[in-house]
Amino acid sequence: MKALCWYGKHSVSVENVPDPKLLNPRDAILRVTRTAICGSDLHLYDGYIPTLEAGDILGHEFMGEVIEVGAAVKNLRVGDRVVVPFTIACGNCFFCRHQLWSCCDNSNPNAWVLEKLYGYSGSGLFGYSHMMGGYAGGQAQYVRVPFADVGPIKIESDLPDEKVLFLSDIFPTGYMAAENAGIQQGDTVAVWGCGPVGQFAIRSAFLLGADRVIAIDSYPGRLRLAEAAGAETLDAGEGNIQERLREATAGAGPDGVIDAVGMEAFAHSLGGFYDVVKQQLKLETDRPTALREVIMACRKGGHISVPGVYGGYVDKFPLGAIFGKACHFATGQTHVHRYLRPLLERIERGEIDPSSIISHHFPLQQAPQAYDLFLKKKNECIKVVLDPWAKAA
Amino acid sequence: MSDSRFTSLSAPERWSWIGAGAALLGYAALRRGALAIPAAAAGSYLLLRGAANRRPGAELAHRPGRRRLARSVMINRPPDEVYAAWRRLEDLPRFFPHLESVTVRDDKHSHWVARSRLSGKLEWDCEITDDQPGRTLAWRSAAGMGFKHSGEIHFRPGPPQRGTRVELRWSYRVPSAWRGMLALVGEAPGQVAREGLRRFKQWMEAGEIATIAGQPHGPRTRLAELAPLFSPAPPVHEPTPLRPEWLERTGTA
Ligand SMILES: NC(=O)c1ccc[n+]([C@@H]2O[C@H](COP(=O)([O-])OP(=O)(O)OC[C@H]3O[C@@H](n4cnc5c(N)ncnc54)[C@H](O)[C@@H]3O)[C@@H](O)[C@H]2O)c1
Ligand SMILES: [Zn+2]
Ligand SMILES: [Zn+2]
Repeated sequence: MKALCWYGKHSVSVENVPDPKLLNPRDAILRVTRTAICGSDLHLYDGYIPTLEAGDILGHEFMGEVIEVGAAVKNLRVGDRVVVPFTIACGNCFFCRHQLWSCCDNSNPNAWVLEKLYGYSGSGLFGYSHMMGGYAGGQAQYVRVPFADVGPIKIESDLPDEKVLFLSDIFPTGYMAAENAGIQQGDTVAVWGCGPVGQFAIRSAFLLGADRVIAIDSYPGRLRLAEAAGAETLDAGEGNIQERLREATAGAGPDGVIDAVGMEAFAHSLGGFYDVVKQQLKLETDRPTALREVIMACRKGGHISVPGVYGGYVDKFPLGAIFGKACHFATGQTHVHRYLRPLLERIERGEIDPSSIISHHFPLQQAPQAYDLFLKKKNECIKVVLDPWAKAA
Repeated sequence: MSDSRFTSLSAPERWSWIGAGAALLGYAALRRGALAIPAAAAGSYLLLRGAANRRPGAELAHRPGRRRLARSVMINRPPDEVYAAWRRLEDLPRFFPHLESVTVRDDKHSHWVARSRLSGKLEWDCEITDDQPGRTLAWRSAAGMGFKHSGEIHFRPGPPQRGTRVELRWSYRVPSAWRGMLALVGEAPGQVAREGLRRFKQWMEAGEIATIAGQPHGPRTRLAELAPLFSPAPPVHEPTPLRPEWLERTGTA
């Protein structure tokens, strides 16, 4: 089959590789019908996540048709159409039983690596480095899905792939980010980053009853898409976000603040340049430029929600501000399984159309160009969907 | 009994070790190439042992000291079920990748074969010394064979709704000079115990052991091929069947 493989910083290519086989009794094999590139893939592409190996297949947002099931998979049949959560979870451990799916104890064969880094290891993930399990990803024509009896959700309606594909990650991620913002009636929520995750956080904040959402980014196309969802916008390039948010909230600060940017925040001040240099020199692993601003802007007793990915250590983390304002702090890989059913129902009821954020379609063959386009945000690129079976143009 | 580790050397012997070490270091510095690194390592070793007034290699002759370790894990299944699965000793190689086989002879006796990256094949006989169903199992390896150790495993009910607290204790002898090397090749006993318990937990809770061995990938570079060789969690190569009781007792959540 054809699959997108990682070969180093800014180096990916489509290779012919063997088809995946069933390895365990709870596995299924899918023929992938659609897959997408995520902002998280850019952290791999930029070389910020260690323990990838040359030749690893990327991709954790995908859906497809079941073509084979293992002996223990009783709920799926060949021919079923399913969307697969990017977190791999067993369904039976303490964490899965408590709906903390991205903390599953039993799905990371290389848990020892993360134990050294974090104390304890989270769940395995598709296509996201060997410390996260080393599972081959879904930017491919076929993919092996472990624990297929608990993860995949069947799509029984005739909704097109593009409307349900993002249940695999970014819609639940934006939704959990909004939940973590503790939204109450009358709340104002500020969202940093209007990439795909930010877009879903904005839409979810409204679904959860936010009165106002203020969206922050510096790409005009992305800000326009946020406006289309009903958000007010601030151009980060114009600086002084803190003051503008204070004014926008009559001196109080937003009730909930969401960092949908992550470890590769860009700098629009000298302070941010400091992090670029430190990260290049490997003195810190992540650039918390947006995160600091998020924390400083939060109102007293407010909720700080961090869906953006961080991998290691950051400098000058304003812990005192979180303490001094008695803020809540919530973060983590999304517990995707929790949200599949309720969010699919919202899509079916027409409360949201996830396909509205797609800016580009490519055949898998052209995935390397698509990565470059998405990284540099050229041609107003917001979200790329790949078709593994289309002929290259 | 005189212990060679603690006897000092005669002056000529001492200086000849120092001289040999310095010569090897000099060779490594001047010649570079493939032999430089081992030569430098051996040279530094000889030099340091000479300077410390100890005969090189004496630590290998020394009788290994007795070491103990304890590792525990919480398993979300009741103690009887967890005990029963562990008691099927022939299944243990599924969890401990360095074990090749366990052959059960009778209620008390079994034969074990293991393979270490460092010392190759090891074999020993084992005798069960205490067996309390649902609670405890203790064993000891037969005198004078393979990996000399004794161990016990305890199964206690965890806090409400948390399953079973499993504690594995080992007492073993490994030559002290080996300990560092075992850690380097991912075979430090503490890590072996931790990885074994982790896989046992997966088998109990998930019914199978997570693996990526045999999945596709693009062409690899030499370096990427080497990576798994030193892992303390080498991939499970043989796919495991589902744990027989899993579907009826646990099933899909
Ligand atoms: N928690 C999870 O489970 C999960 C899941 C998916 C993605 N993520 C993470 O969410 C983050 C966003 O993902 P995405 O797909 O939207 O990526 P993206 O790269 O498309 O979006 C990031 C956006 O942040 C903007 N930005 C950068 N610096 C900023 C700053 N200082 N202030 C304001 N905006 C700034 C960029 O212009 C960009 O539009 C990434 O870190 C990704 O890894 C997390
Ligand atoms: Zn993602
Ligand atoms: Zn689990």
